[in-house]
Amino acid sequence: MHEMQGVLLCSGGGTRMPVLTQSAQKCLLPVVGVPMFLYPLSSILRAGITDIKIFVREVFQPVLEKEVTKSKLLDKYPASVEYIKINQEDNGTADLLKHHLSKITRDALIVSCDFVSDASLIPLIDTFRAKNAAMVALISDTCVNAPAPGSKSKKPKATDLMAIDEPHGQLAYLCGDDDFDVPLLMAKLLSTFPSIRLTAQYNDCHVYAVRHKVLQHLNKTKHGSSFKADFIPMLIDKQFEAESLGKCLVYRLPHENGFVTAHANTYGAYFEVNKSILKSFTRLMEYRGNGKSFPNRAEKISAHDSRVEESAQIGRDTIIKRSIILDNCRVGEKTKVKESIIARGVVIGNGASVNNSIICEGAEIGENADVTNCIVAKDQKVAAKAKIQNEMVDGADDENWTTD
Amino acid sequence: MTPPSSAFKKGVKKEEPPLTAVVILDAFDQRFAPIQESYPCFGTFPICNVPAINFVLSWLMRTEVKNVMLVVSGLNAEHAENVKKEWKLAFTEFTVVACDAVTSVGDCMRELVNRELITGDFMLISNPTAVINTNLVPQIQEFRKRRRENADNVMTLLYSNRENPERSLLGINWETNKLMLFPAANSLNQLKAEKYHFYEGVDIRRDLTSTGIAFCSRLIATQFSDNFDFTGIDDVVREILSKDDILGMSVHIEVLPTKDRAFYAYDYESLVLLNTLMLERWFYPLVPERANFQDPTRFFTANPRNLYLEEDGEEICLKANTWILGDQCFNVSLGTKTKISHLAQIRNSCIGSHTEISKNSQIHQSIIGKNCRIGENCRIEWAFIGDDVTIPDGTHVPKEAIIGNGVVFPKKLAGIPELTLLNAALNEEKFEKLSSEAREGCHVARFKHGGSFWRRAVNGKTIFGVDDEPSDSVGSTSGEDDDGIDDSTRQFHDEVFESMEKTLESNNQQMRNLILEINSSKLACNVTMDDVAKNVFAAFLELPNNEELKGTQELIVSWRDLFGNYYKTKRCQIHLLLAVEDRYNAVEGFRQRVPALVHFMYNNDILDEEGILEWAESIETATLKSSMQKIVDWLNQSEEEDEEEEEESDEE
Repeated sequence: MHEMQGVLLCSGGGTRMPVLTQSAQKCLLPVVGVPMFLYPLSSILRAGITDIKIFVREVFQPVLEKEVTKSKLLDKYPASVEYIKINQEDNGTADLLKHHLSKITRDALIVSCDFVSDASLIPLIDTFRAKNAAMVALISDTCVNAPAPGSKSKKPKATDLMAIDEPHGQLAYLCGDDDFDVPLLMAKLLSTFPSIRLTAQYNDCHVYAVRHKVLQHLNKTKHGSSFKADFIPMLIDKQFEAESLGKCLVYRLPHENGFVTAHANTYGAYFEVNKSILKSFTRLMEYRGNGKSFPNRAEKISAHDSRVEESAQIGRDTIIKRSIILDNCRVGEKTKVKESIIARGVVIGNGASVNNSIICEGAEIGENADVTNCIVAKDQKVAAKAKIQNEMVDGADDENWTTD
Repeated sequence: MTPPSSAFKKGVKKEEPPLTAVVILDAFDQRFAPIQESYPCFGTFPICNVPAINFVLSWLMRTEVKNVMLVVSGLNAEHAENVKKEWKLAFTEFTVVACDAVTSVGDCMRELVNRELITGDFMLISNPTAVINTNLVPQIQEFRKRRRENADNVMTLLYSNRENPERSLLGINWETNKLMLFPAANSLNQLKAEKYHFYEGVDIRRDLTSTGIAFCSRLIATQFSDNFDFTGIDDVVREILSKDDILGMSVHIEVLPTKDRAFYAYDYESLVLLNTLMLERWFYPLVPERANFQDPTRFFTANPRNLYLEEDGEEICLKANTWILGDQCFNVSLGTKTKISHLAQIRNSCIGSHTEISKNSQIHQSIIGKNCRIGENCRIEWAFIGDDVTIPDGTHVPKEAIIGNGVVFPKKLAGIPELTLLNAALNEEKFEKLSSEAREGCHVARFKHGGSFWRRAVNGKTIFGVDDEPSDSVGSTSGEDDDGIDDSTRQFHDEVFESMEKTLESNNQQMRNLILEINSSKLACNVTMDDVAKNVFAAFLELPNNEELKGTQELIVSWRDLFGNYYKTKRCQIHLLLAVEDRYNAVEGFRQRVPALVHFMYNNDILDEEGILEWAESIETATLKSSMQKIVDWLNQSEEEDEEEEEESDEE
């Protein structure tokens, strides 16, 4: 696949997940212990693309490089990776691409760092080639998502609003759920299509195959524009004008292509993808090995649908269910960990119970504490016997529960 | 093991009675005025020389329908009786309902409800040219199923799979086929989609055409009688959609499979098209030679190249008929005793009886009446020609021409496109939307507001013959798009102004009628209550009587019912005052009258002090604010006095 370049955008700040990203860049957030950006990188590599540009802030470049080497992905899929350093001023994703347009010399597969999936992108690229489209976007109606821990609200699934010409999969309108405020007036769209379907079934996965010549139109975008919210809609609108750039199509991810797909830019999606990606984790990230197993019956540790890293210490009589326990954690005896993510170096006291929660790096859970549906931020402590529910424990208002 | 008792119950479920067909035999559209003389009743209009209603009844015969109700305006009752004579044996019950002084499908439905003739679910065929080639079994089943699932599924509209020439849009839920979006009458090709439409999954379709057939429950009929400004089924659909939350009813769309065909004619273009489709036998088994039931005097032969010849019952004999027409002719229906030159070229056309066509004339896509004479070397394309018309030698009749009875075509008019020619001047009292002028010994008819006879919709804007939609909005909106006012609000304002002018001219200024007209404009333009409040008064202020304060005051007193109706709440009163403010900013001569006008309306209990005070707070124009200050002070003072009085009375 030499005619395409892969473009991986690792500049996102993760503004939708402030508690998790206050200490780490979004692209470095661990998904099952692996920095998130390695997943989209592996997707690009698996599609056979050998020329990859990674847009990253200067400070993080060495970290990324180190992680890529560690992952040995390039040993399996040889490719040339170039890091493009960006300044803080480029606040919109369209700006980044605009300033470094000269680096992109061919048709590009533009992928955001929060696209975590084991699906193959080859059919998308095939569609792009066969239909000679200006742009093909990956959309999926099975993006994993779940109610976010740390709050009671069961927010409805955030989706994208689209108008699709059903027989051909041509995209006539795309708008984020939150950005839709004025009723859409449909006269122009229908002069082109005999029939279109309005739907909110799909999520835009932020994976786009775009023609090189179309990318040149980035120069027309305003400062601070976003690629998804401004440039893509502009392309879609252009379809109906006289000097059309070509068709914008969608590739609807078929259910047989991949087990898991997520656009992990919210707490809920991030949380859920950690647990669901386990199914194909060892295949995607071979360098991590198979994780710890508990062959000794005498210890009475039961672990189901979970991954526990080798370096983690697990006490006796512990129940682990659909959870992830990363390196150097110390989990006490008789604890219960269900549906949760336990990040590196977390200490969980004896008899504690952690349910449906994210425990960030270096946090401590006291003995016999009960944490349900919470996010415990980096280096926070939950006192022994404390019982917390639906909370964001980020140190801002911690006196509520540490004092008693 | 015995099955549970419920299994038996299902088996003996009562068979539902077959639908009653309600067929409206008239077309209440003034665009058909030029052909009224030859075909006073639209249902008897000849398609391939067969009255259109014959096609409707012959496809109805194939459906489950046993009872037919033929609804006709009083003047055409005789035609309906003739139809009944021919067809009554085909159905169990065949009723003719003659209604006097009806001017719309809505009027007919109200009459049916008044006479309590509608007792159950029915099939409404609101156009007597609706043709269809299936027996509708699956569609009626679907309708029944929906009715059983939910009694509020009150109507199923039948659509065919065909791109519609008017480019009108529909929004349908793709899973349930529920109708979600329906365009306003004045902009058929525009729809506004809200967020929930995306969540529901709505298909927006332009590739569907109405068939003029609707399966309705009794409730639909009562909708007509509850809203006596409704003229057609579209009004009911809009009402149900816009009051979804109050009425809780839903309308569904049933789309015919692509192999089934349906069509109906609503203007001349579609009439010519229907004629051609019929000649080409698209609606088989609904074909011209089979569309008679019990009329032994008419006999059709169908010949190769789709040539249909009508012959006198007495002269039928076996013969090769095709020699009558030359090789270049196809898709032609000829009436009895026509004289056609072998050298004439006729395609896709219908020629009435006793008509003569001379050599070397070309006739394409046209409908020509009885006893016409068409000279040599004529060219007639896409034209409608009535009875007893003479077209002199060598005439090129312009495309899309409509030529009424008895006209001798003047050659000088041959260059005018979309010509509508009549023998005599139009009766403008009867057709208040039309006018005619004398030219070259004929009369040229046109719509007073412009608009085409030939086509119903131009650029998605419909010019219906029956309801009060001034088509001049087509012209006026284009220039005014920039001023930020919504098209529909603008149109509402213009309509209200027009209604008011009319009321002013009439002798007995009936407020009740004016209010009705305003309400129907509100429905047609789909404007909010706030816009109504504002624009009604804005239009009122523009009336010629209101050049001076005295005239305004007199009018306010005599029209007080109008204000009582629209300005009960404070919110509406504020919008009234906003209209005053707009006019203050726009018209200089109006300015000094404002305080007196507001004071007058306060004294006449049209405005309350709360409304005035709140509005006065919000005024942006400094001059107006200062001139209102006096009234504001005065009102505040009297309010305080009121309070003081109350306090005093409390003390007592």
